[in-house]
Amino acid sequence: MQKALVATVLTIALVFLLLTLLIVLGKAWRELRDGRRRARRRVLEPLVLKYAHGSSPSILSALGGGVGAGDRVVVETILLDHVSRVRGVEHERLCRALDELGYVDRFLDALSGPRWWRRAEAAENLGLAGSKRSAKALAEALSDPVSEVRLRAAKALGLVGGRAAVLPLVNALAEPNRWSTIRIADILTNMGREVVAELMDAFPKLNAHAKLAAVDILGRIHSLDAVPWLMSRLSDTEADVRARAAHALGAIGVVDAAPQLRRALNDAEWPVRAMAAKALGRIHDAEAIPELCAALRDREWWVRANAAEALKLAGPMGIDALEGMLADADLYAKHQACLMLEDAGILDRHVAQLAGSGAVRTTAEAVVTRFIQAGQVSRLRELAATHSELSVRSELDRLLGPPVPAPEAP
Amino acid sequence: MSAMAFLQDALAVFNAVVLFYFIALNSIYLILFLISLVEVLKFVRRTFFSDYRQMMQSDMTWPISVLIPAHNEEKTIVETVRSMLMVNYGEFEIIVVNDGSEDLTLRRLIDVYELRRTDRPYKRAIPTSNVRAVYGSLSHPNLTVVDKEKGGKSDALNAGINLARYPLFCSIDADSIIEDNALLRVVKPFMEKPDETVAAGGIVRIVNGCDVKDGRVTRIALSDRALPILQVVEYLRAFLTGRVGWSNLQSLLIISGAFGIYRKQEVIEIGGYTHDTDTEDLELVVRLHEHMRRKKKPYRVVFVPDPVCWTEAPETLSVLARQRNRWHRGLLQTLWLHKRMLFNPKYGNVGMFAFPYFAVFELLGPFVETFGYLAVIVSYLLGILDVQFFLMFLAVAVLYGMFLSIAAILLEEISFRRYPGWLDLTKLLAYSVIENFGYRQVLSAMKVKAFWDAIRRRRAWGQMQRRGFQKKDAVAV
Repeated sequence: MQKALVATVLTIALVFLLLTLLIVLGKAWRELRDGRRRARRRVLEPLVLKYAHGSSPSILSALGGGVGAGDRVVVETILLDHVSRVRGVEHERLCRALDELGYVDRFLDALSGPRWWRRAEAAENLGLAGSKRSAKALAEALSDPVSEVRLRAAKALGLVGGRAAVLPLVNALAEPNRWSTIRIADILTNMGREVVAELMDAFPKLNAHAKLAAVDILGRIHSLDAVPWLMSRLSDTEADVRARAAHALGAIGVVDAAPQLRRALNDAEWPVRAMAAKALGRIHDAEAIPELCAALRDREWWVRANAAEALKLAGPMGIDALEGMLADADLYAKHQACLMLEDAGILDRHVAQLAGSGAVRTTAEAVVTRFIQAGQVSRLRELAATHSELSVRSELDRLLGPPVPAPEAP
Repeated sequence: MSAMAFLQDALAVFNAVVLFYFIALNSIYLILFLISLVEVLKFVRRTFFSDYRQMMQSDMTWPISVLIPAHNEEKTIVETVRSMLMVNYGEFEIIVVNDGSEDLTLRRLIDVYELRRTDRPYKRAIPTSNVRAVYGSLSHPNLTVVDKEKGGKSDALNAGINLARYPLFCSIDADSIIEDNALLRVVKPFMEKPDETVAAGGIVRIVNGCDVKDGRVTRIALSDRALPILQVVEYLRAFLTGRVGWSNLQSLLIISGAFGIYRKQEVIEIGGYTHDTDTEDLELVVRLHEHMRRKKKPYRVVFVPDPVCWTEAPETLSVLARQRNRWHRGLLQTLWLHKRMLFNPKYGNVGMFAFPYFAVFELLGPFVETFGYLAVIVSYLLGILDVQFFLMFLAVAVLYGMFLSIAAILLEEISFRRYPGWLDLTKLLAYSVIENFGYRQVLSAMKVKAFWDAIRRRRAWGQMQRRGFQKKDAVAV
């Protein structure tokens, strides 16, 4: 028994010592390796850059005939670092160097390897290498079982470009991982107008969240070709699609969509109403002012907030409408109008006019009084204490009355 | 039977219990370590392929409301807010909740960030104590400060939730600094599985010894003092092996209050943070588990080992004792409040594994541990110390502990390598040995006292004495 105990104690102590040794040796090895690589990089990097700048006819001659086994990783790192930073002829030369030195073939081999992180790395590197001949392999990698590999392959396809890359990417929008969808959406957005037709064609076959991503992408690309299609999506059966379509039309700034967006302000679903209000603000639609005023009384905060913002963006007529809403019976509508007028600097302007006379002063006093009646007095109290004109401060003090403890905000 | 013989028998039984306890505890730690090893390696490989830049630029990344509750934090609040303002993230707002501070916390914020009162609507989704004013910043449009009457940290967080505009909120302690990409890293689980992820937490590391400039940790190093280094080793073990393992088992019960991110809707559904415990962060996560299990919806509470939140650790035993006293009281209160989850299969892994573990090993373990050490001493004094027992005790309590600490350092070295210098590594290795001779025993004794205090219903906040991040020519703690 005692022997077994001693053996246990010694075993644990030995494992402890081994782990300590592992940590120390691991760190020492890493530091030695990194030091050597840094030293070799200092030698090899100028040679690679000389080739990239066109001073050497080929990468092989620039590197003195070839790359030694110990330098393969260093040269690969240098090439990949620079290929992602440069454009034009230098980029092309570095891509060619990656191919000539056999790195592209190695990446293609690794793309079908057993370890997922090697496959992901290979896909990423193929994208950086801009290798058109890898498009097929990358498209196949979009069905890799590991999402990181699929994502890297999608990114690489985006970099490689061309129509062969679009359809697999559009289909990949159906990825269950939301972040993958977002990244693929970004990739497609960056590819621009060449993806518009494919997106619209593929839409009926996409799943729910891919459909939303597709509508978003079309809005972000700002393609006028997609406008009629987006307008038709305002009557889609899915509320989220209607909301995103409204948002996309606002992002593109389609004035012709205003009548349909105004109708969308009465949609049964609040996200659609909110997005329609936002879109109307973006296209500065003055005709929508009565509907936007009504939307200020909506039961949903986001609809009210977006409607108020839209009225502010609609110009002087919108501002007049917001001032009109200060007398509204709906407390929330009044509140939103106050916030927006304050935000737009209109309240400050009216306060400054309190020092004047005649109709301007009367209007200013009426607006300030409505703010006070709505309980929105923080800015007024601040101006009463800090305004540069004594007469304005006195007027504000008179209108505000004696300070009372701040009521809790609604 | 003589008294001596009875004592001998009693000690023998107790010794057997102690040995069994240590073997069981360390075996659980070993399993957690092995799970963590696999998970951390996977995580590191995945992190290599993370698109944080794209995530930051994407307008589809979820916006976040960052809540910073502050009570008498005049020394650190400006730095904390500055560090938050510089965080790499697309759309986010910062809500500082001044919870009835009696010092210059609010004044300093008003002066530095040009605050002015606003009429921003305050929707009382969760009841809180009275809000005195809401301030917006002229210089930083995404900064809001809520001034409210004192109601405690949980009340302050609830006020922040009420004011938060975004679907995710992140709670951060006012004495903490988070790294540039920390928000992007911790939000990733929500981006990947938005329907399932309800909460995620990041690793907390100790800032003592590091250089801090303009709200950023500019040089990472260990403190010159022993106590913070001992806590570094302890934190590495707790976060890298403990939480990663529990997270993988879908049984993570703690997301550190210093840095956690939650889905607002679920937190509002369960009524926000509670005032009933001393550790609102632990209780909230346990209640989220309970709520989600009851809803029978797939969900996950995730620990992400990479996002780093730097926080100041106690530098004196008395402050450490107060901190640990509060943590342990909070654990007891939380486990008691949710005792129906214990061994309840309805709550899955949480009820069947995590809850029993926390009850038996985290809550009651310090008794066994403290009295185990006492038993060794008493046996020795009475001349009845069994050598076999002593060797076994040494193996399972001390050597095994050392092995687990060194394993946590190994995990750190093969993954994140935050302490790059040889001197720091040597210190960590040395302290992973030293901590087993005094520090762990003191911690156990502190927990026993906390248990006693909780039973006597003593509640004190364990006020942390802040030294602030600015020191030694704008160099940190």
